Formats: sequence, C-alpha cells, structure tokens
Amino acid sequence: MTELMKIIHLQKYYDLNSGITDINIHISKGTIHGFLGLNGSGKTTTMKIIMGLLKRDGGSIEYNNLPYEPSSIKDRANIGFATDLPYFPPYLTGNEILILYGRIRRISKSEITKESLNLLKLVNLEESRNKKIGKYSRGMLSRLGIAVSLIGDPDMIILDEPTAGLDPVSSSTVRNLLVEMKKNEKTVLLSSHLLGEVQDMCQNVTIIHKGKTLMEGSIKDIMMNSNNTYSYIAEFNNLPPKMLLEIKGLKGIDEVNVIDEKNNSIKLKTSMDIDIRADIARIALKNGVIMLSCTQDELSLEKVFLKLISD
Amino acid sequence: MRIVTTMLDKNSFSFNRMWSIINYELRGDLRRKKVLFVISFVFVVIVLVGVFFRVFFPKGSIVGSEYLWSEMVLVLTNGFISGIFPMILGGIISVDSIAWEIDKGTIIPLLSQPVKKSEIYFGKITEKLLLVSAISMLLVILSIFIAIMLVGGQKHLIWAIPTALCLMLEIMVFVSFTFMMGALIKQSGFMMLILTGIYFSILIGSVFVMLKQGFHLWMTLIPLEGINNLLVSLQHFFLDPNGKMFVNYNLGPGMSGGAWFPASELLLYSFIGASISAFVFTIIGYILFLRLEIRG
Repeated sequence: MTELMKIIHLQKYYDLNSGITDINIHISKGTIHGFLGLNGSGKTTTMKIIMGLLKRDGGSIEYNNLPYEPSSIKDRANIGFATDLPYFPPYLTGNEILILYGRIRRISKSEITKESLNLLKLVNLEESRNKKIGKYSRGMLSRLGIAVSLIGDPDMIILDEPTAGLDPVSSSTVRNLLVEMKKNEKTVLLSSHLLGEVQDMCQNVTIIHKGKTLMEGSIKDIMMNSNNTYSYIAEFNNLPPKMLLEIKGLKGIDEVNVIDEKNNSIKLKTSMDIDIRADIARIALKNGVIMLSCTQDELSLEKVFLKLISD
Repeated sequence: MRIVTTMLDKNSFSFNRMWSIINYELRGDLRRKKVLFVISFVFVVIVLVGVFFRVFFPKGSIVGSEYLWSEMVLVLTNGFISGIFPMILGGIISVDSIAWEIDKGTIIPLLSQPVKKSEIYFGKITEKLLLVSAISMLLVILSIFIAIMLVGGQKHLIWAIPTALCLMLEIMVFVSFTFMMGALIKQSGFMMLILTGIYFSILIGSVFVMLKQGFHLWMTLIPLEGINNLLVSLQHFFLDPNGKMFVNYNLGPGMSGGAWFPASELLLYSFIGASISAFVFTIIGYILFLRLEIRG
C-alpha cells in the first residue's frame, strides 16, 4: 500500500524527563491508522508537531514522499485536525465557525455555505447549526471539531481521542464517521484509549511509550509478533492431581495454573498455535472427569498493548 | 472542493487570508458583550464629562466655550488618572485577541487552518485598528454633539479629524501593548491588572526621572508615558500654532516640576513617540507570537 505520511525519528524535548525522543510512524494511504500510548506518552505532542502547533527538535516528516514542513500552509492544507475537546469561540454558532474557517481556507462564500450544511449534517449537528457554541455539549463540540477538520475535503485527518468522554450516542456517531471516512478512502491518524475501537476500525497501528515507538505495523502482525503464547481456560467437575500432572505433560503445554479450586478451573498456556482441547478432553475422560468447558482465551489488542508497555 | 488546495498553493503572505482573519475577529468583537460595554462606557463618560463642565464652568469660560468638545476629549485622555481611559479601552477590546484565545484554547483550531501566523497576528491587529478608529471617531462626534447641546455652537471642528487620529493612536499604543503582553504571558485572567500595574509603574518611574533630570523633549518618547502629552499638545497647537505650553509633573507636595515648550515641538515628539511605541510593541508581539507553541 502507498505510504502517505512517514515520520522518522521525531524528537521534541520539554525538559530532561519529558517530551518525545524517537517516534516513527508510517501511515498508508486510505487507511485508518491507530496511534496508541498511555497518557503523556507523546501522542498529542506528535500530532501537534504535524500541525505546526509545536516545533520539533529533531527528525523528519514526509508527505507523499516529499518533505513535509508543518509551518508551510500549502503542506498543512492537505490535513485536517481535531482535538479531543476542541474549543471554539463560544459566542459564534456552529454554522458561523465552519463558514469563517472555510473563508480562511479561501473557499468561496457560496461554496462554504453549502459545504457547511453538509458537514453539519454529517456530524448530526444540523439542528444545532444556529445555536451558540457556548451552549454545545461536550459531544456536540467534539463532533463540531471533526466537522471543522473536514473543511476543504483534506486527504488526511488527524483525530486526537475523538470519542474521549462522549456518551454512547455521540461515540457511535463518531465511529460511523470513521467508517464513512474509510469508505471514502481518507487517511486517518486516530489516537484513542479505546483499544477495542481501534482494533475494530484500524488496519495499522503504532504503539508508543515514554516518547518512543515500541511497535508498528498491521494489527494482525503486531498480535502475532508480540504474543507467542496462547491461553486456554478449562473447567471440570473434579480436579484430581493425577490428571493435572498428565495435562502438564502434554506436548506444547508450557504452564498450567489452577485459577479457581472451587469451580475446578485451570488456565493453560501453550507456546504454539495448536488446539489442545481434544487432548484435554481425552485425559479427562481417562480420569473419569467431565470437562465442562474449554475455551481459547481470545487475544486482543488491549492485552498486546498492556503486555508491550509492561515489558 | 478540490478548489481549496489550488487556492492555497501559494505559501507567501496573503492579504485575502488576512482579510478572512479580520472578518473572524470583527465577528467576534461584534458578538462579545465587551465591545457593547466599551461603546456604552464611552457614551456615558462623554455625557458625564459634558455635564460636569456645564455645571462647574460658566458659559464663556475657556472650557465652557466653543472649544468644549476638544476639552471633553482631552479630559478623558490627559493626566495621571484620566490617562488610564485609553488603556482601559485598548485593553478591554484587545485582551481577547491573543491572550484569551491562547488561554481558552480557541487558537488551536485557528492555527490548525492553513493560515500563516503573520496573517493571524496582523489580521487581528488591523481589525483592532479599524475598530479603534471607529470608536475614536464616535467619541469625537459624540463630544461635538453633546457640547453643542450643552453650550451651543462649536468652533474649529476641522480639528476633529486630527483629534480623532491622535486619540486612535493613543488607544492603539495600548492595543499593541496588550497584544504583546498576551503573546508573552498567554493568560487573560489578570491582564487588565498587569497592564494597569505596568502603566502606573512607567508613569511614576518617569516622574522620578523628570524630578531628577528635569523635563526634556526626548522623554515624550518613553513608551506609554509620552502619549499623555499627545492630545493636550494638539489642542494647544490648534488654539495657537506658535504658542508654548507648560508641561508639569508632580507626585505630591515638594515633588513637582515643569517646563515651557513650543506646542508644535511637543506635538511632533509625542506623535513620533506614540507611533514608535505602537510599532515596537506590535513587532515584539509578532515575534513572540511566531515563537508561540501550544503545549498541554
């Protein structure tokens, strides 16, 4: 897939203990790229550097294989940006703010008036278009921020935690918008703490920690590379020690732990992607024990992320 | 929609984009209750000053005469306490432009648009120049109108234009100072308090220097201090172009002094001093704004 933006060895120092020291991101054209990290890991700093709100201390950014300069308005015109809780002048209406920003982008008045209505419709704010922004809820502000980031139909949109603190309805609207962007082959850099959301939406992710990129790539590859153990949870009607020893002796089993003695449950870890359920059932049968259930503990981005940052 | 990128191809300063910022700023100023407050304040002060003159100065005296309109403008802008009026006016209308926008975060979506910082900064200050010009004109016109109502026909009305111009310059010195301070401290909460503190510190400091060294014309070039002589020297100049005026300074008993100077010279120096102040504050503010980083 063609690369739209490449960030190499990006650096920004606030003081000795904070900032970013080595951020690398490769964003493919037409994809939603997840950007993950704990609070203070450097996600917002990276995004602000791209938008020219902060100056970088080192590293380079390329856009469409050409050097990207955040202070260049020509470069920045291709990118829309929305923060988690965007602030707009409270005395203006949603419609006015879109028109004013559109005019700054030199879109003709008639064109931006039309575009403003479409964008407000898209983010479900059509009915509140003439309401003063000071009276908007957090969800409405967040959606207005996304509408602002879409003015002028930029190729790439940077969204910094767009669903943070939103109610389920607003979150769903934002997720639908992301689906719509994906359909329209927009490139999105999405920072979020909701890892399930990222797993569902994004093709690729970059995981950063303490100002450094820990891992980057497709979600599938990251899960494969970061986790070489597979877990199963099995429940029996009885748990004789002899059966436990036999299970421990099975080929490929690395670890067996009793997780609930009362319910006779065990957790098994294997180093290979093999289905051990039939073997467990056979051992149980041999020991006169009934296996009530045996399920593979599903691997999630959240687990991979937590493992990566704890290592 | 692709028209956008083609129109943004040029990376140089664009007056069109600056015009959009002027519109953005003007829309904000018209919506903010502060501007309405300022205009109402100007109106009330003018009426009060006019009534004060009518009551305490009989018709036919200097300030109760056909020059009343210029006295009314002058009393608002000249002297230790009344000189604070242009500062309050300039500060109130411009504190929201830079300091408030940074403080409240509304500058982020604005800076994220494809617009240069220079276009934002000069767009905002140009809008203030237009607004201050309108307020100055309004103040002078109101003075003339109220003076006619109080004491009858007024003379030398042609001087209304330079009077409004000097008033505008005085207020613009404080506007540019507020812009500079906004880009420096990035907080709007205590801005008026800080402005007042700096203004009085400079004023008191200047008087101490004058008490020690005597008054020299170059002292009108001291930022914020020199503008106090602008309108008073203009008034003296239009009453008598070759006349002299007495510049006095005092901080209380035994701490006063003064000297006679040709009004034309004082006017020229004050005008140059105020212009330099406005220019220097604007440029320093612009440099600080260029270096602005949005953290947090």
